[in-house]
Amino acid sequence: MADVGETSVQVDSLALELEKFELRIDNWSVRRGDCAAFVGRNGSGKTTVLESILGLRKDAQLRGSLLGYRFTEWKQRAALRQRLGVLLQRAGLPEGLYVKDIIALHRNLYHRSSAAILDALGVGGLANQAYERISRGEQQRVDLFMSLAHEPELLILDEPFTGLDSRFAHVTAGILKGLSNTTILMACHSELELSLADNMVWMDAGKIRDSGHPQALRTKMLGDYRLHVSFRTGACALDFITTLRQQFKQTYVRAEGETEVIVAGDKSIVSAAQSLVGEGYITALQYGPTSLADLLNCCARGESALDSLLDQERGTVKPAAGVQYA
Amino acid sequence: MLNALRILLVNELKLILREKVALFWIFLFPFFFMAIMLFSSGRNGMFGDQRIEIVDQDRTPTSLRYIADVRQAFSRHSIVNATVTILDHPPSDRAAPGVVRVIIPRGFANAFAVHSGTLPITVAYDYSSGFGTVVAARSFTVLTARFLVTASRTPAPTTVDYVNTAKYRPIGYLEYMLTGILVMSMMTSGMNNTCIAVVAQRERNTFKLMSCLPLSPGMYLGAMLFARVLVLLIASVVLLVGGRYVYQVPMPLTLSQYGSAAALIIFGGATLLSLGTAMASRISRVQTAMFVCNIVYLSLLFASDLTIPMTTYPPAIQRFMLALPTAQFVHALRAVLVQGSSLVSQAPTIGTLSIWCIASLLFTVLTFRWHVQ
Repeated sequence: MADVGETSVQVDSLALELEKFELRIDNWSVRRGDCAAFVGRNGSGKTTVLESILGLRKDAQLRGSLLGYRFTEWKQRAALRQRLGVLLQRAGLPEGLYVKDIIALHRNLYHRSSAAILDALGVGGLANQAYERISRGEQQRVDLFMSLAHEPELLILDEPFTGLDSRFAHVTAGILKGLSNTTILMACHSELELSLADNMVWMDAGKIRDSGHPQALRTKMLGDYRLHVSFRTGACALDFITTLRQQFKQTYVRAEGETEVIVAGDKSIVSAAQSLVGEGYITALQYGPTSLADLLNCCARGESALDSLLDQERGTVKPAAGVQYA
Repeated sequence: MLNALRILLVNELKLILREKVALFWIFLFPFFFMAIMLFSSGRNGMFGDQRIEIVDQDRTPTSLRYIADVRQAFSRHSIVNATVTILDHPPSDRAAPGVVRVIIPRGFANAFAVHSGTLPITVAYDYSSGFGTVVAARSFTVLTARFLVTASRTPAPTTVDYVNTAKYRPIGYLEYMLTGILVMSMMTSGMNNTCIAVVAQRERNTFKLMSCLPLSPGMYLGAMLFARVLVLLIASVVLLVGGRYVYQVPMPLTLSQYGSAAALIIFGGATLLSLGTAMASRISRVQTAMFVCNIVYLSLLFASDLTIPMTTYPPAIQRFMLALPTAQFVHALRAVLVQGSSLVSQAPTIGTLSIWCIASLLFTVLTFRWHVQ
């Protein structure tokens, strides 16, 4: 058995030519028991990184190791994959199987199957139903069961909470938190998923744009405070943004639709922004701490954070200047 | 309202026109089907274009008149159309399968002249040839009787001797159909079903998922194929037993015949599964797989002597058809199940099937992709 040490995932280099950009990651690692969450807009390369690590991308040039074993060994040695749990996007189990068949398959493949996880995900209750006929969320629970029930040392999950209702999303979060010795790599789009992460990796056009603890990145990229203002008209919102950007060049500003603006920064900036707001054309105003949802939004929208507002004034304001970070 | 209808109509037309597979079935398949049917049945009738060889040992004006009558009887637009050729020096004593050989004996005309009765016309053909050949051969009874009445102006007994040139016991219609349908059903379950199942798993990214589990995709694919071999075997047994006892198909089966047939079915089944896997090796959409399967299935169905006798096709095409694995398979099955041949005598067929099987597997290994990148 290879010496895992403190590092579970070690990517010395990963390069893959994609249609729109080149995916490139160098010297990136995840410590044993940590959870690394890839965030970013759709098509930024999150899923491709996970699939490359799993050996599913034939053209990927990859050097490094998982749990101390070189990536190539994982492809060649099927028995090694007993230590791995995987949830892929748009990858279905064989058609025509009943859920009980899938449970039996899991038991036979991994020789252990946590009854607690089976119960928590409510998969036992679906046993006599055909996998094809249950709902998308129920299928996701069965898929999660397949990836989690053997409590693997390494979990690779692509958007694990997609399709889950709030109850099962929290149940899944609880299970993942409980797997303290498991290293988790996941692509995520929800605040709950991100809340599990020790390390957030912001992917942008195939590159790691930033990484770190989510809360640290939240403070770094957004600041701790936010102001959410709803204006009566888009013109009022635009006026507010224009004034704000003249006074505070490093402030994060995001438009929500045509009449709502979110400003984030430290307490002084947000207070100053609040003072710019005239009462007459305001319909609502919220003040509070920034959240991981804001951080996800920021990473997903990037430079397009003001698009909906700037669309009105296209040609007079450059959209690329819409968002800035401290 | 009309505007909405127009937009919906245009959209539907666009959808149809963008779907290449649908376009094939709508516009090209009728031509494809017509071409195959014309090849198998000829242009002039349901019995196809038959071949009649006449060996005129008499060489008299009477025998020439008889030949002229034969030509007229099998001319175009008659019930059975045939090409009549005169053989001065027959290359062999035995007519080729699907050919009716007519021998006019020396003294045929003289027997008329002295009113000493008639010498018999010999009609030799392979009794296990197709229905067109049988109908053409058996027409000589009526044709000869009419000639004798016309020539001698008095009723005379019809004397036509029929000789079976088949090496083995003739294959009856029921036996012919049962074995043909057995191979057809194996094509469906072995080749088409395998191809579509593999492509469906690829389309669903199931192989992708399986390659992350502690089993090799090869093992998973192997299980898929092995399960289908078992189903093929069971289905074959059910069909043969059903044919024997439900449809009363006369098959004098012995234990050794059963064993030989089982071995052949395993060889044939493995070949069809390999073909199905090879067909699926690069296809990424189920719809495309269905299209490919249908084309291959229909081509093999018409060109493998399964339900349309091979002897109705032109000789040049028959040579090509004989190389097809399904034709080899069904011929061997008929030989073993119906005519009582031994498995050893089918070694060349097993060899051909093995070549097809290995070539398909090799193609699969070289080109197979587990999932679309």
